[in-house]
Amino acid sequence: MSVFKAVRKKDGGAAAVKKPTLVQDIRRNKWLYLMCVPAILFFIIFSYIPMAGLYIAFVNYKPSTGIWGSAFVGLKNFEFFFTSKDWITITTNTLFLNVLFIASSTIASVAIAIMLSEIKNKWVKKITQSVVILPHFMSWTIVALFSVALIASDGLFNRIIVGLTNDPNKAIAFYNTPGVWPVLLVFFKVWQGAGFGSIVYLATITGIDQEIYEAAAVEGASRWQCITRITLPLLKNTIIMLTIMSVGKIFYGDFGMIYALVGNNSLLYPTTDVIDTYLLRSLQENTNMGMTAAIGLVQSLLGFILVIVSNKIANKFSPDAALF
Amino acid sequence: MKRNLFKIVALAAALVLAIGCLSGCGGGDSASSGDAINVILMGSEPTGWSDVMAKYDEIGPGVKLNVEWVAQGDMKDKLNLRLTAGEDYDLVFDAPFLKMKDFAADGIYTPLEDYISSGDYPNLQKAYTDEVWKANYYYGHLYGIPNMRTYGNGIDCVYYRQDLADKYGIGQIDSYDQLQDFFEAILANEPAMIPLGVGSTRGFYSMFAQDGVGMAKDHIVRMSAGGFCHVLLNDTDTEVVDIVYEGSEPEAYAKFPEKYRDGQLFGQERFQKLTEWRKYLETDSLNQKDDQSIFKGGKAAAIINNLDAYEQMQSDLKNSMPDAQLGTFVIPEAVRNKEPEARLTNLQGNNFICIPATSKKVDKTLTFLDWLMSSQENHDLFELGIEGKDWTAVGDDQYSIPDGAQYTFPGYVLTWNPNFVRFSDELPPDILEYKKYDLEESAYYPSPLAGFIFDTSNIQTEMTKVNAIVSENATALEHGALPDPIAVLRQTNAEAEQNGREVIREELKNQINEFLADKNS
Repeated sequence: MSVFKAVRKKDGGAAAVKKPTLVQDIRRNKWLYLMCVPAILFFIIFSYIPMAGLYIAFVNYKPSTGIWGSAFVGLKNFEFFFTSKDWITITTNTLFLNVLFIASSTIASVAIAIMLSEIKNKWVKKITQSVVILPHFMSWTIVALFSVALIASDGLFNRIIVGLTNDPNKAIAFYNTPGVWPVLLVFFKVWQGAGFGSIVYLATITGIDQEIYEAAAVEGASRWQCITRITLPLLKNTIIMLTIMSVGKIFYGDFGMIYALVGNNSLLYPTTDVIDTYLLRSLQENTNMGMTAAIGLVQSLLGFILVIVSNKIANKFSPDAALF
Repeated sequence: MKRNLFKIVALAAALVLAIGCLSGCGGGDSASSGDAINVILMGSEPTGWSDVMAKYDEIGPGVKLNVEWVAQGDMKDKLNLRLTAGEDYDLVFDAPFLKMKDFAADGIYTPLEDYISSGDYPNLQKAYTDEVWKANYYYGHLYGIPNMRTYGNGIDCVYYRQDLADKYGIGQIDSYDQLQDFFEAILANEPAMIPLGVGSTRGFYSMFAQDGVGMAKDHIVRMSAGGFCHVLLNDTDTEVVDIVYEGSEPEAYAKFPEKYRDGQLFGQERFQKLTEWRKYLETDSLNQKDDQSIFKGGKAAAIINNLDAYEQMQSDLKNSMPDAQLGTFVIPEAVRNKEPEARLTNLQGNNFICIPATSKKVDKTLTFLDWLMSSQENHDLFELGIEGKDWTAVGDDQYSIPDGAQYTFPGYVLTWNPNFVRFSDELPPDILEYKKYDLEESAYYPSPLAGFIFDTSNIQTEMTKVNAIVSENATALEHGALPDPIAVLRQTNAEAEQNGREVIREELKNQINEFLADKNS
């Protein structure tokens, strides 16, 4: 730990006088910079260099001639999507589902983090934590198998409904009813991801100075008041930051999840068809790399714009929460 | 001291990560190994493969094989990567469901028609008739050698529980009426069972299929091009008269022969029937991913498949329910009665073996294939393994597998051919009869458009848009899940027309006319 402390001290002193140039900074903190090398390399190799391949979105890609040898077609690869009759429905579905996912996962993750932090018994806490995180490690294919057991016409939910009402006609044919699917998808998303998502929040809560709580207790604050007046306000920045980060992927439908759960069931398309599943349907007979890349580019660009905008907004209202 | 140690450890960790990052970019090792030809086959290496290879080296034509087995799930990606990167391969398995269509169009494979007709490889040439060779051209050239035993795609049938059919007094099922009686009996008496199990993608699949042969005799061919359509040819099969998409208004069929004009025989009757039969499926059929196992597990009383699955089906059913009896109902009536010309064929293979254009050993590779097709013995070595150990011959055209033998070669990747077929001696006589009938050339009627392949590369935008529209209701229709299928078809057609189907129809018409002109010149 001593390295970091030393650096911070030196750095703090220098910054007060004059901002160092990059070269000076590197020379001074060479060890820290060296340790960043793997991460920097990773992003250069796997994120920046491949961006050149975006050119594929503007050519009629033929594997035999390669990316640069294929004919340039301008915006033709974008045409099929934006002139299709469904693109607005699909984009709306994608956005709507993602907003639901982000909101419900955040609320659930924060709630789980607070509840975990309130558990005092060490063993109960550890076991609960492991149990809520576990679903994150299950693939959607497996979750899809569970889902059949839960929501099939003779599945658990329907048995409960029929058992309680004693009326077989009350059973819900989930797989034939598109209207219930946004709720179901949110349910599975939260079940799968909220536990894992709570880790960051839990870490933030652990980092809150205990003296604040002690002082509040002395003043007679109840446990609930401690949560609403201390924990939540102090979590605000983390919440905003993580939300901005998830906004970047808001135009990507969660293909792994939706395709595993819905599959080819066209009865459910009205509420579950997202950009990614639409692409699969329209291109599985005639695969076309150019068209796929074109839509990927649109998704990334829109996500990027949204990140910038939401970061701007965050900067205005809560500068500490902004990413940059 | 401690501080330095920390630095060193941290740096070492960083270095390891950095190397890890970069190591992913290393070039794959080249498959080249001197003399041998490099082969990619799909599937997992058969148990006892090395013994077969040793025997092959002993009796073979002196061409060493360096075979790499690629799992089915990885095949498409690996083929794509290796062949587009121009790696050194001489013989690869490919199929229309993998990269065949793209690679043929892109010139990745060597055209083989001149080699085959040169007479240098007489046994290979004999493997198929000229008509079949010709029908397997892609875009004017023979880019792969088809691996097929029959001209059909298997005999479609319904597997059902004979023990239950007997229990409810129905007996052997030989007609749709009896099948319906059987389903009704299950519905009434077996509340825990589903009469018919179907999978999400295929639905009713081959049930109530349209009469392809009857249509072909009337110069009509059904094909998929942005939805299913019927292509009407003139009386000499030399030119397109009209192309009409399924579910169109009766007026659209004005140029078709009288009996087709109401559109009923072109799928409309079928979809209404499916809606009527929907009650025999489970409520969640559209999400059923494994219909085969609900039958084998006893939850469904019947499923749709084809006769190729018979042996597997029987042994699986016996294992899970020793009392269950397997019954089969061959779906198409003419096939059920083993009539001649009962089945439409385009004579095209579903699986091919291809020689990449980068190969420098085309002659060597063809020498191997010629050897493989030169005798039953050579063929059986690959397909069945070592005689006496992996299998024993029973008569001329059957084999039996000794206890404990494990060699299973996926014949469709290399060896399938109508001249060299052996059947398992465990097949019951009636199924064996069907399998033999399946091989007879006289059982087939060639499609007037056999060999035609629709090249969609110039109409990608329209195809993509229309495919998205058509797929919106496709699975629901195949499950009979829409109360008014005809209205849905009409609406789908209207939307498809607005989104460029006219362009597809014109392109299809031009390409067929060109193809027919070429064929008849």
